[in-house]
Amino acid sequence: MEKNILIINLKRFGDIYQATQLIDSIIAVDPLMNIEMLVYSEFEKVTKTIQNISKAHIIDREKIISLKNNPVYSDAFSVNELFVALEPLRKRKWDKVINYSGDNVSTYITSYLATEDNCLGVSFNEKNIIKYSNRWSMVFNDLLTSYKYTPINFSDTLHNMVGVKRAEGANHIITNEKHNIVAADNLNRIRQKESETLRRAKGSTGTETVKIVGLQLITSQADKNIPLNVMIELLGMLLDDPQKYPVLLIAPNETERRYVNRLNEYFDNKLVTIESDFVALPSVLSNIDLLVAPDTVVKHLADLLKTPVVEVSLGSGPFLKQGTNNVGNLILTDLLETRVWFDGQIGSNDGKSKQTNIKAEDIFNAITVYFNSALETTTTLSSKISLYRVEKDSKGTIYRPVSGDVNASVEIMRLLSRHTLFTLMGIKDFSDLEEMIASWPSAAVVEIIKTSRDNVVLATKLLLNTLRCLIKTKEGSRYGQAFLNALDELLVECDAHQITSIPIIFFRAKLEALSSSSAEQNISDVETLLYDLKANVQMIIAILNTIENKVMERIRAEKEKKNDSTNEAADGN
Amino acid sequence: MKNFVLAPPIDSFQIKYAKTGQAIPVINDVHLHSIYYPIREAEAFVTKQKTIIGEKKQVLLLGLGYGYHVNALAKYLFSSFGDDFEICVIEPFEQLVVDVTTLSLINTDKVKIFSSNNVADLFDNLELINFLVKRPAVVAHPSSFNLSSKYFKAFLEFKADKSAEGISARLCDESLKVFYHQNFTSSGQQRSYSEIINKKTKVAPLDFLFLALDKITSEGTKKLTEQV
Repeated sequence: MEKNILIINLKRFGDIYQATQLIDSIIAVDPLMNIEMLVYSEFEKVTKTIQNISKAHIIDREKIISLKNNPVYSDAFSVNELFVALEPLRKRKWDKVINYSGDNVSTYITSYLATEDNCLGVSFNEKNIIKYSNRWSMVFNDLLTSYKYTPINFSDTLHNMVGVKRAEGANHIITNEKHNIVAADNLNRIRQKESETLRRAKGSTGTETVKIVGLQLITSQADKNIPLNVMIELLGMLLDDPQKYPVLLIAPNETERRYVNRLNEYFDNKLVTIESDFVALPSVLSNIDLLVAPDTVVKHLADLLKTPVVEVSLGSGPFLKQGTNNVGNLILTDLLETRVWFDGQIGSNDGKSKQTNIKAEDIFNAITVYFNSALETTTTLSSKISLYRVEKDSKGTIYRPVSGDVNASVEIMRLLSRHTLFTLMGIKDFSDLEEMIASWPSAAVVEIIKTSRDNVVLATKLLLNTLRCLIKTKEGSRYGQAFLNALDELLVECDAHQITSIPIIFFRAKLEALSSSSAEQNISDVETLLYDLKANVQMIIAILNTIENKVMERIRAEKEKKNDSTNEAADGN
Repeated sequence: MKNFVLAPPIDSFQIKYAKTGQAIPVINDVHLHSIYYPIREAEAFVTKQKTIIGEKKQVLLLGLGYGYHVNALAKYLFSSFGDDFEICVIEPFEQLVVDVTTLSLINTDKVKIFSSNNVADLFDNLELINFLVKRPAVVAHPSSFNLSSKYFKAFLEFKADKSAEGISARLCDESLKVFYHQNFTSSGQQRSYSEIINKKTKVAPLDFLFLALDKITSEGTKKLTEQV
């Protein structure tokens, strides 16, 4: 029997494409699933290229805003417009309604359309209090937006929230047969011509093939764009490299055409440019060897088509949360600790072009490393630049530093955070801890343990104080203010980006979701949550003890090895 | 009522014929087209409007006359956009609409005519509202505008009835009307839906619809990523 799922995705093109991974995973489990999506009208066109969306429903946001804000129109028309858009959805019986975007509007609409038992993600209950379908929806809505060491990728979180395993294999994007033929033909012609030139230059009769590197130029936010001077230099390097050939990928608009013209001034108008809309773009991406792109919709589409990607993560690009996520892809970024944390992601906070340390040579080297991973360890990057590779383990996507400058403390915190999150979710897996011990200097690990223990002490102190004040409120409401002050101090730790921030963020989420029927019930519920938090903090203590034991073992083993070598040398004498 | 502006009364209505054979309506002694070369006049009129029209595919025309300028405008828009254009005409005098329709004076199906004696009624016409929301270029047929200047000025300066009763009366579904009446009629026009709903101890599904509406309209088209 057909089951019906509605995905509410009121975000941009990239997010709609990214939802394809989840959609395909759902279909892989149950091919009879009928999946429909609610989007804003300005982003509808992308849904037509996603094979497993049977129907897209739209909200004409611009029209609603005009109807409401223009004094010429009765307010009734904006109400009617939204009502009419949603009424067919409200009347349907959905097996699941997934709040994919998790913002205010989508959460209200989810609350409007979903029932008690078919909602996945956040919604509001009949008291207008936030409600989480499961703990993964708390991770999605609260942890990923608050915690800078992002222990889990966005897509993995959503898969866990919905309860499906990530399907492997290429995703189902509809391509146009005519575009496929034209794109393949044109790009193969370039490939053949340049490959012949390469073979002639080498005096070879072999099968060397030139790699076509697509460069995506412009994003919707200036701070994410690769700076013009870097792009010019990079193009020069690629054109000088006989094994690689650059093509510029642009959307059909004047801004991007003007940008290409500007670039072409430096190259005698010899640059190859491919202009394509969303209908043709999949055909183009399927026929290049590598895409170099900032955090954009084109990158997300390349991921779906399994086109290799080197992502240049600049400005407000949230790579730890929503970076390219196919195994083997690379991400180039300014050193993580130099990127500003704001509004749910690492990046710049003013939307303007930001000074980056990434140079053309870094991007060129990253491209070279992609095609020859043996060069990972010998490639040098500019100072304060890191190169990460996408890998996967049993828990999902993980970004491992492979080259450049890396802050050991930051990387250890990332692994520790990941392990802590999965432990709190009841998943026992020590691979992150083992990696931490094996990959990072013991001294750095010991330092993190020390800092984390100090943080645990502070969190415990704040927690116990809050508990004490709460218990006192049972004696009289005059202790209420003391309790609130203590609670405030505890909740400040949510933004501390320390290891205890993870369980405190969960505590805060559960606190906001409390829907007690009386003041007494409220006190009792809060008390229960505080004891849960205490148990979680103790879990962290156990984790830190485990790490400490493992580090000590390693230090001992290293000492013994050193002693053995010293003794051997002495015996030799 | 503030917006109750009617078309001027017709004291006289004649039809004359231009040198070139076209019929020219004369209302209250005002010739709505040139008595000599109405087609040439219409084409000159369109040429003058090109800057106002710019790249817009939708044009709101004030004044129908006998449609010569409408045809000229349609011809121009077709040459620029092919079949992808729309013209809506506002005309206070129903007699003109009847004549144009009966005599098939408009030679394209891309034109819709909206006529009402009362300006306010026009803004209850959903088809016209759906057109206006596309922000068409607005162009006035000079002689029509001069003949009914008060009417057209009232049209251009129209302000919707923002009273709770006015809004409730225009809601499209009975459940919406009942809900609106129960929740918003005593609150005046100043408070947002959110301010009212967030004070409730228990909310109904329709409350979420209004909360979503408030958020969409307050955030505008730029902001998309605010989490709950």
